[in-house]
Amino acid sequence: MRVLVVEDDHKASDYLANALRESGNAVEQVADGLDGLHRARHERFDILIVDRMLPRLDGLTLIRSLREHQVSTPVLILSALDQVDDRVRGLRAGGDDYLTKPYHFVELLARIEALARRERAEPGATRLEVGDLVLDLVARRVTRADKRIELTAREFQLLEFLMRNAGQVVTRTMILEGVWDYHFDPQTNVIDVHISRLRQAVDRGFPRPLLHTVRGAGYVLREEE
Amino acid sequence: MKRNRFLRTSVVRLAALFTAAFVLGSTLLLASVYYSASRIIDRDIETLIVEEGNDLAQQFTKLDHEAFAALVHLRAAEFGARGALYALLAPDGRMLAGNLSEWPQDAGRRPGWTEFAFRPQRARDQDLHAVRARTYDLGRGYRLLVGHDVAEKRALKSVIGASLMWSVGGMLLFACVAGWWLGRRMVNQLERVVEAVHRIRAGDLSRRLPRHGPGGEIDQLAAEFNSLLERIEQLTLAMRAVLDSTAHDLRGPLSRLRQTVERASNAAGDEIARKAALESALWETDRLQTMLDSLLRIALAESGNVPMTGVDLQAVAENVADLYEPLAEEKGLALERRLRHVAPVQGNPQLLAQALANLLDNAIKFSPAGVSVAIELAQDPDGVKLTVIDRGPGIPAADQGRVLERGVRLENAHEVPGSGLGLTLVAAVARLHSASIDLADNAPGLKITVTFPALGAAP
Repeated sequence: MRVLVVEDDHKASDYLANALRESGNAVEQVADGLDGLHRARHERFDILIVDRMLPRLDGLTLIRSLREHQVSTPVLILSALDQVDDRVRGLRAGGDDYLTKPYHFVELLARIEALARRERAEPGATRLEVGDLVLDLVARRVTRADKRIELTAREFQLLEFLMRNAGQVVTRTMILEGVWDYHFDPQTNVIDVHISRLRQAVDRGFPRPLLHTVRGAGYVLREEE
Repeated sequence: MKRNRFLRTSVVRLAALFTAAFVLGSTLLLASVYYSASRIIDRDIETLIVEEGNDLAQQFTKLDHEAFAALVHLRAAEFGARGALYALLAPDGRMLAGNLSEWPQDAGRRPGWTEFAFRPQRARDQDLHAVRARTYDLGRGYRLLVGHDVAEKRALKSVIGASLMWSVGGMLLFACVAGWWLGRRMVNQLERVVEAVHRIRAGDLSRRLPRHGPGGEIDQLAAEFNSLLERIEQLTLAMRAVLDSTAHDLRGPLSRLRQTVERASNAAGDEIARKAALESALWETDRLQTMLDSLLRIALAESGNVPMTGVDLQAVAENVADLYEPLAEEKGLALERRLRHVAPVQGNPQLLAQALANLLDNAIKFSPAGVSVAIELAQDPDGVKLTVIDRGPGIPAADQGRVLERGVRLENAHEVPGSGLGLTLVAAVARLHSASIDLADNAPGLKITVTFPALGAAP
């Protein structure tokens, strides 16, 4: 992926850029909002990582003017502000996702990969497939190898979320946000229990598991060779 | 002290200004009284003189000289005792009649009003008396003077004048004393206020401004200022408590983090030990971050600066119960939902969900396997009641108030993971929503009820 990092804290920017490069991405760095806007408008990027507070042009204004110029590159907003309405403001300005500093790099990586992928996915799909697992969004039915799998409403939502991000690592916070719309970390890792139940329903009795745990990061749903 | 002096002069100047205005006003009033009184006294005499003079001038045209002189003589004899004065001067300068020994020198050649001093013969006193008089040219060289002794009237006027002067003097004195007293009183009150403010500024936030009985403006100001101080003190204490407990909460994980990092750097050769140390350092860092997040959330809820909307608590409770149900079942607990439809409350859905999640988290954490945890939602005359009931060890009555405080973990909770901030967040969120929290013994277990005021009811 080609990533543009707009961040005025050079140390944080370099750390992020190095980590992204190590994960196999091409990274460009700029340190202020106006440069960021200029490059995002005139070059092609797969993803923009934009800090909320920037010199010359703040992050939200940058995103707003990008959207006004019909640039639809997905944007992840980074912010040191953890205010309940700040996230809403960020997303309303045209940001696609929001992450509070300090963040875990795996969390950030999972999110930008999900964002970049979402851009490519067809939004109108009524059927999601991973290997022999099929989720029918219209009939609200799940089958694996043509065998019906019974799921609760929540389990269905969780599986849908994982299948939409199939092949991508999703973190626990991404699941909490995507399925429950909760923007806080519960004291106990409740998501692990949900995943293990879903795993029971989806993978039990099948030779090849689809739902994998990625240590230190989260989960991924994919067919492994 | 510079400020004090300024205050003093400004107040005293004000008092002096009012005193001066008061004295000036009353002096003007008394002067006009004096002027009117003396006008009335003077006019009385003048009317008398003019009437008598005109009458005699008329008689002069009808009578011959002898008869007229006799008339004047008669009048002088009749009215002289009352202070009337007459003089008839012949063309050759002789006094023909009257009770004046000679024509007064002050009375000029021209007819009209005049004033002169005269010494009455009959009086015992030898003082000169003032006389107000009018002279007439009667024709053919005859001149007439009609006058009146005004000594008594003058005396009356001077008595009135003197008493008015005394009044002015008295008022001046009274105004000065009253002004000085009022000024001093005000200066004293303000000085005490200034002194109290000085102490408060120096850090004694428990101090309050002195009160001087109800009603006065300074007292009202002091009352307002005191309630402001009350608020500042509360906020400062709360801030200090947050800072203290944050420092306290973070010190533990930080020192453990330091130890593990030290261990990692010392275990240079031992790759496995180094990796283990680094991983536990990572774990401590995450824990620190979670704690900081919780503290920030609590601070956010306590600041009150949170967007609020109408929230359906039933939906919030269903969602949180959905989130925790598998965890409860994993532990062998039944999660009972008794959720009724309730009126919406004004609130922040994220914070409400987090608070309820913390309550359920605790209930599940502390309950032994095989029992049930219940979550109830019901409408009540008091408002909307959200209740979480567990069958864990419960909380002793003595500790029930304490657990809502920041970072308090009970003795028996040490083997269970947690930051000690869970219930603090619940308390902060409840306060933000004007809700009350009630802890009750479920024998065994704990029953926590959060009561939200019904939407539209006064907070």
